[in-house]
Amino acid sequence: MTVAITLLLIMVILFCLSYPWLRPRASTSSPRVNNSQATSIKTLEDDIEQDIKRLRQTGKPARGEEDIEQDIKQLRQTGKPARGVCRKCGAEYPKEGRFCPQCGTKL
Amino acid sequence: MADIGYIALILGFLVSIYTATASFVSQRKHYQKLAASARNGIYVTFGLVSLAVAALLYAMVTHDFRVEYVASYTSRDMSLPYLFSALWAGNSGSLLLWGWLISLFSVAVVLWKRASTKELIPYVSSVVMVATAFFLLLLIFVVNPFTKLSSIPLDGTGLNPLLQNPGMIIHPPTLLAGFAGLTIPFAFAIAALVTNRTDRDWLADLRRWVLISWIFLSIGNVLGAWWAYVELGWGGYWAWDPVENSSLIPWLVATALLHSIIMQRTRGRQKLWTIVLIIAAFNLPILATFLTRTGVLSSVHAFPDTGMGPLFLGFMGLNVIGSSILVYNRRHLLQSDQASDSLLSKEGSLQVSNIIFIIATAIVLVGTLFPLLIEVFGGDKANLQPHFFNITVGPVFLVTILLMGICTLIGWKRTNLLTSLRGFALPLVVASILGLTLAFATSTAVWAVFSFSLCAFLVCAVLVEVYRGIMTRSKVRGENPLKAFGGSLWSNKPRYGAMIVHLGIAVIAIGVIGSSALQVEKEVSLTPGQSATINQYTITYTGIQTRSTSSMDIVAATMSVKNGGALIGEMVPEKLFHHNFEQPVTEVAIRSTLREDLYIALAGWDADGTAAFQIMVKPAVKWIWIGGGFLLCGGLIALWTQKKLALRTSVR
Repeated sequence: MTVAITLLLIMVILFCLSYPWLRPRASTSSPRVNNSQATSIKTLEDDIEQDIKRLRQTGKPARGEEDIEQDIKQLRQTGKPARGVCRKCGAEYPKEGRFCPQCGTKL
Repeated sequence: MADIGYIALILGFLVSIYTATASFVSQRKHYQKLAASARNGIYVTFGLVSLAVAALLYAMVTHDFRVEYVASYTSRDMSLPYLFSALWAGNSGSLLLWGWLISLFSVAVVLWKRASTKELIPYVSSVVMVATAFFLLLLIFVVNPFTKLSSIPLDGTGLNPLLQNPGMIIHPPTLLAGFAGLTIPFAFAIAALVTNRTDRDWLADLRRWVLISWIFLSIGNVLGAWWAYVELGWGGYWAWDPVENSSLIPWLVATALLHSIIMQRTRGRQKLWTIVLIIAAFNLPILATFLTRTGVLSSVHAFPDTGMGPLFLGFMGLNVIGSSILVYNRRHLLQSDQASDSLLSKEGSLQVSNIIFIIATAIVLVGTLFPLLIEVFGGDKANLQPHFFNITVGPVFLVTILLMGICTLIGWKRTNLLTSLRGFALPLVVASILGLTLAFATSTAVWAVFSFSLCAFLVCAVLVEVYRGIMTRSKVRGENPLKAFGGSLWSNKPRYGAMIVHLGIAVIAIGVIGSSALQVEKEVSLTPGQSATINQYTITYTGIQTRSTSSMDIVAATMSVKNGGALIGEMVPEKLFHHNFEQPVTEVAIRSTLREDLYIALAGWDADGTAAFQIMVKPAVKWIWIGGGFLLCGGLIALWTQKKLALRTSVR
């Protein structure tokens, strides 16, 4: 009985200490998230999915270099990104938006 | 289950060594996965030490007398609370609890960390794990609590009757929690020195842990005094015994440390003081444990020598030498940010207070080590009498009370002498009136009159400061005084917490001075029906009865007590003869009021019913315990602020 419990203890200890190396790769790179972060991740995944879809259909990426350049220009001029992601709920907001359309947080 | 407990200790030791190394290496080399593994190691160590504690408790509750510790400190007739308290009744059990508390606090450090001190945590964990490993090493190789007996007794020896008191359930664990808690500030200090961090960011964490330890030590000391008073039957509460001193010394150093942290946080000064005090606060309990658990000093609380001495000395030497080298190498970082301030300022009085605390610590330490020093120089080993401590430490404490009053009223930075004197006027007048009244209207000793005046000065200073705060807030915000008081307390908890603590010290001092200077004592021999008079009390001895229980024989004397002619009740002092223990235990009868305690102990008796009694009237003793409550409340209020304080500190 004592031997069995000792072996069990050793196994649990080894598992706990080596867990950082045993964790699946995806979970090691993604931090623990709360609801709002989960929303933003979900939005991001949806976006990526749409981009891939569009890329397959048109053979072109969803956002070209021109779009990115325009965004950078606007960011330099206004100090605000063309489209942003709300820090609280993760929803995207439009260029002129002052409040998040989803949760109402001041942007 | 005992085997499992011992195996858990061994595994805990191995994991703590791994965790200490992994924490250190991961931070040096920036190995994230190793850091995560070390973090898990802290939880695993705590789990394993908890398993060992649970195994010992299980053995006690199930009366597994194969285990020597269980057979030595428990018996079948003990109630469940005392069975649990037997965990810390013996040497190995209390060391196990100490180690468990350190591992518990290490978990709290990891869970409680702040972003600004995140980089310190791996080093903190490393140091704390080394301390845990040291205690586990002792438990595995020197004082194994799971040692088995070759023959199994039918019943255990049981807990010493003197330890069968509610005080036993709370007093030792609180003191041990205080000692264990001081490991964390030490670990933070080492981490700060290793990472060259002597800024103010880590001071919030440091203050929190020092304050937690300080609260535990305060409560532990007051409870110890209460236990001695109600249980030991000699009429006192503090005997300057080496073990008592060894719990007072860390308290004094922790108190100095708290003041030093205030100085560093607010003025960027006393950085070196803070570090040195932290090192002292961690190592002094270990020194005291070495002295009282290795047969070096004799004490009523001491444990017999079990061969732990070299290990304790080695660990302490490693701590002191290692941290001294680190301090020396980082001395350029420990310079004060600002030049010295005027003595007539809060900084000045805080500095002087710290010096006074260090003097008090040095006196108590040298007094405790005196038998050892005498022996080294070829003399006969003998403990110093309490009188030595009373006449040396007493005046130092009185100066501290005066400084507490000054510190409460005086402002930061250079203060105008005239403005300061105006603030002092009322407390000085009150203290003087009280002193003159006591001197001329009573026969109180001069030192007591002076001491009471100082206490009145401190109490008045605190009340004046609170009143000022209320009035200012009331004026500015238009609030009623009660709301203004609540608001002031809520918005400035560290300050008001400190004031409550200072008030508590004054209240304790009033109790100590009153019970020492105004005590009246009589030793009387009475036959049934005879009376003795002491102050306004008339005590009539009615008779003596004997009864037996399964574990002891009890001899009880019945006394009817009159206060100024009016009957106020019966008091029954007893003598207990436990079957398992040779020495009888005195159960004193105490009638306690806010004004004074009437204390009767049964000293002896004859077959014809004549009995000898020790009767004492001890004024103001209850105020010592009330003062302990003030310390707890003030400490908790000061601790409550941490979130805001941490934010403020990190913003700076």
